[in-house]
Amino acid sequence: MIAPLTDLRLYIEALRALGEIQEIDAPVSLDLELGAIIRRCIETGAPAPLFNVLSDHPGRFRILGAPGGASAQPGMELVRVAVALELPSTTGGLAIAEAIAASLDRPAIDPVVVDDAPVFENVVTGAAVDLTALPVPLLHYGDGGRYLNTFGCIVVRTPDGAWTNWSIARMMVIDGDRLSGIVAPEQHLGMVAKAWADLGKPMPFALALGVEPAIPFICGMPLPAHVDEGGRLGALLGRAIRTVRCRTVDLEAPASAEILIEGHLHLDQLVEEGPMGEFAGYIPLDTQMRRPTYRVSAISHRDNAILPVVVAGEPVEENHTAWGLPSSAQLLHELRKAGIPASTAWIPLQSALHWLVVTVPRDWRRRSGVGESEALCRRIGQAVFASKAGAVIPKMIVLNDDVDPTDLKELVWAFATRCHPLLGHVVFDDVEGAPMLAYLRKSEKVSGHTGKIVYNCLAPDEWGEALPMRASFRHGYPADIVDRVRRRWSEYGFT
Amino acid sequence: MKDTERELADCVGAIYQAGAGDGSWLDVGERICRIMGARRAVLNLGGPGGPRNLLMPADGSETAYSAYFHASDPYAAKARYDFATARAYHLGRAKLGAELVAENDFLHSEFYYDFARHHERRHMIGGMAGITEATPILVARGDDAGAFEENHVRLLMTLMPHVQRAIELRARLGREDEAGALTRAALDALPVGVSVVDAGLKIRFINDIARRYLAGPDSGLFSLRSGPYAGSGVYLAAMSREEAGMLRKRVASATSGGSGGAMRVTSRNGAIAALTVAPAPLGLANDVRGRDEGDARDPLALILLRPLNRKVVPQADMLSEMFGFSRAEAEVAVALTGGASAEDVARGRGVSLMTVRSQIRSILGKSEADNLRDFERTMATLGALVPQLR
Repeated sequence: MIAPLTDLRLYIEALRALGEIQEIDAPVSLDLELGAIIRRCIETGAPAPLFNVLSDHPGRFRILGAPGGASAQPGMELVRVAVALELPSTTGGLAIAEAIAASLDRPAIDPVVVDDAPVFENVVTGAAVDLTALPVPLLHYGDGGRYLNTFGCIVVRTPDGAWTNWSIARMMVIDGDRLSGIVAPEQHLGMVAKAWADLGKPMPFALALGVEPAIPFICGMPLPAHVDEGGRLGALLGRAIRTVRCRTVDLEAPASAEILIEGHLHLDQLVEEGPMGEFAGYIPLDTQMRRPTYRVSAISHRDNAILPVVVAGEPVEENHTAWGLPSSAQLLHELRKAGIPASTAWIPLQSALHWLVVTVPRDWRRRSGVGESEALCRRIGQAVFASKAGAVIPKMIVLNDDVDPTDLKELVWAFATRCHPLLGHVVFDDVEGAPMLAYLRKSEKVSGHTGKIVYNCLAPDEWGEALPMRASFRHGYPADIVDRVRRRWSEYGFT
Repeated sequence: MKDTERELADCVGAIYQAGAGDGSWLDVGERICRIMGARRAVLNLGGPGGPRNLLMPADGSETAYSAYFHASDPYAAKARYDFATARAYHLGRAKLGAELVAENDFLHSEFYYDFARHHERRHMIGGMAGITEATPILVARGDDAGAFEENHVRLLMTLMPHVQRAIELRARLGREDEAGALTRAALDALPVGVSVVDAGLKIRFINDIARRYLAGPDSGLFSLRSGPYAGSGVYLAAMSREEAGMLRKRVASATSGGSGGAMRVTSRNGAIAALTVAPAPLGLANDVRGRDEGDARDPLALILLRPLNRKVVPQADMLSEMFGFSRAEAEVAVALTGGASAEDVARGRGVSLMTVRSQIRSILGKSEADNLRDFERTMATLGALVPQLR
C-alpha cells in the first residue's frame, strides 16, 4: 500500500527518496534562466529542479520545475507520473493508462470539504491583491509574457451548480490583478464560461497552484462534459480529495494548494495574450492574440509556498505526461466502449500528442465483428476523432499488439515495415482539429478544421490472423533456447 | 528457501514440463547436472528413432554409446537385473556407482577402459525408474571432479519419484499421440484435400493432398507460418482478400455452432477449387489436435478441398477390380469417360467399330448402367475416390 500523497510537499519528499529532486540553492533568475534550466532538465531526464532562491524576486517562494517530466533513470521513465498517481515507482506507461482507464468504470468518489487549509496562512483580497508579488517566470525566449499558470488546477462551476470542472490552461500575468489565457469555446472551461456569459455574468474561478500531485493529471484528462474531475480522481485514488471553500467566490478548491487565486473570468474583456512555447515543441510565430481576462479578487498562499512550473516544448514535458497519458487512458476506455478490442491505446510521449497508436489482438475480427482491416481503422478513426480526447490527435497508427507502442525503437520499426504506402489507410478529409497542432496552415487554424489519417499497419487481410514472424532474440527462437541463453548469459562472459 | 531447495523445486517443475511435452528434457539434464555437480546425466528412453539419452545433446559420447557401448554398460545391465527381480524395491531408489557395480569390476571393464573414462563417466550415481522396463537415470563425473557423496545420492533420490511420474506421463501422452497418428494417416490416405483449422484459421491438421495443393501453382489458397514468435503456428490464407473474407466467415460459422458452408477459390491462373467447410466432429478434432496446440476445447472446422477444373478419371485397374472388366474393356471405359466417341476409340485402338460397340455393351452390362450417360455418372462418382495431386 502506497501512502497517499496529499500535498505537493509530500510528493517532493517521495521523489527525493527516489533520486528525482535536485535542490538548487544558487540564485536563479525568473527571467529565462529558470525556464532554460527546467528545459535542460526535461531534455536530459535530470531530476526535477527545486529552486530555493530566486535572484530577481524578493518573496519567500520556491519553484518546482518539471514536476511531471520524464526521468533518465533506467526502467523509471515515468516515475514522477507513477508516484503522483500513487502507483509503484516502476510502473510503465501502459500500466498507468490501464489503471486510469479501469477507474473510469468505478463509481465516483466526490471531494470532501474541509474547514481550513494551509493555503490560507497568507491571504490578500480586494484592492490589495498583487500578482506581481508572486514569482512568475518568463519561460521561453519569444513568449509574449510571464506565465503564472502552467500546472495549476482551474476550478469552475456551471451557474446551476450541476457541474464542477477542473482543468489546466495557461494563464499569463497582465498586471497586478489581471490574468489572461486561452479559453477555447469547445473546451470545458469555455463551455462553462459561456453558460455564465449567457446570463450576463462573469464566471467565478479559482486557480489552485501547487496542488497534490495527482490533481494535474485529472485536470489534463479529457473527460466527457458534465463529469466532475474531482469525483473521478477520487475513484482513481480510492479516496476523496480534500477541498476548501474559497474566500471571495462560491467555489471549493483543492485544500492542498500552495497558492490559491480567486476571481472572475470576463469573456467580453479582451487583452493581448501569448504567444507561448507550447506542447507541439515550438514557440509560435504568431503575434499576440486578444483573449479574455481573469480578474483576481483574492490571492492566498502557504508560507514559503512552492509554485510548480512547466516549460512546454519538445517532449517529454508535462503536456505529454499529464495530458497525453490520461488522454491515452480515456481513449482506451472509449475505444473499448465502442466495441473495438483495443489492447492498448497510447500517445507516444515523443509524438507531442500528434500520434495515437492503437494495438489490437490478432483475433480482432472475431472480437469486433469487423471483417477488413480498413473497416476497422475507419471505425477506430470515427471513435477517436469524434471524441473530446481524440479531437487533438491528427494521426493514428493501428498495429497488432505484438508491438509495444511505448518502446520507440519497436514502434519506429513496426511503422516503417508494416505500413504499406498505399493500401488500407483511412483519410478523414474534414474534421475538427486543435488549432495548436504544429503543422496546420493558417486557414485550418482559423476554421478549426483539418484532415486526419489512420495508418493501417495491420497484417494483410489475406493473412487472416497470421502475423509477421519477428526475427528478434525474444521472438525468433524457441522459448527454451531464449530461456537457456538468458540463464547462461554470465556464463558466456557477458556482464 | 535455500538455493539448493529452490533449484530442486525448479528442477521438479522442469521434469513435469518435459514429461508433458511442454518443456525440454535437455533443460532437466542441465539442471540435474548443476544440482549434483555432475558432468553428464543419462536417461535413455525410446522415441521415433529408437532409444536415446534425453538429458544431453547428441554428441560424440552419446553416439558412441548408442552405437556400441550400451551393450557392455555394466550399470545398464545391473539396472535390468534389479528391475526384473525386485522392481518395487528398487524403484525410486538411488545408489552410488560403487554400490551398483563393484569398483574393481568397473575399472577393469571394456566399458570403462574404452568408453567411460574418455567421456566423463568415472564416478556415477544411479536412480531407478521405469514402467515396463528399467529406465535408470544416471549422473556421472569424470576422474578430475572427485567421487559423489551421500548427499548427492539424497538429492537424486528426491527427484526420482518425479522422474518416474514424468516417464509415466510421457508414455500416456505417447499412446494418445499414437491414436492421433492413426487418424492423421487415415486422413492422409483420402483422395480429397482435408484440413482442420481453428476459428482463427490456424491449421491444426492438413493432409498430404491439401498440403500439395496449397504449395502448387494452381492454388488460390496458401499456408503461412505466423509470428510474432517462432512456433506460433501455421495459418490457412487465401490469395484474394475477398475469398479470404469468405473463408473466414464460413470457418466462423462452423466453429460457432453454425453449419459452415461452401465456396470456390480461384488461383491467379484461373484454376478453381471447391471448398466445403463444416464443424469438425469432436472425435476427429480430439485426434488431430496436438497436445501442444492450445486449449482442447477450442472448436475446430473441417475443410474439404477439391480442384474442380481437373477431370478425374478412374484408373483402368480400379475398373477391372470393381466391375470385372477385361483389360481392353477397362481401357475403352477410361477413353469414353475422357470424352472420346466410339469411333475415336476404335481408331485409337486400331480395332473395328463393331468390336468397340461390343465392348461397350459388355461394359454397360457389367456395370449395371442403363446407357452411356448413366455409366459416365458412375465414373464421375468413382472419380471422387481417385487420389489426386500425387
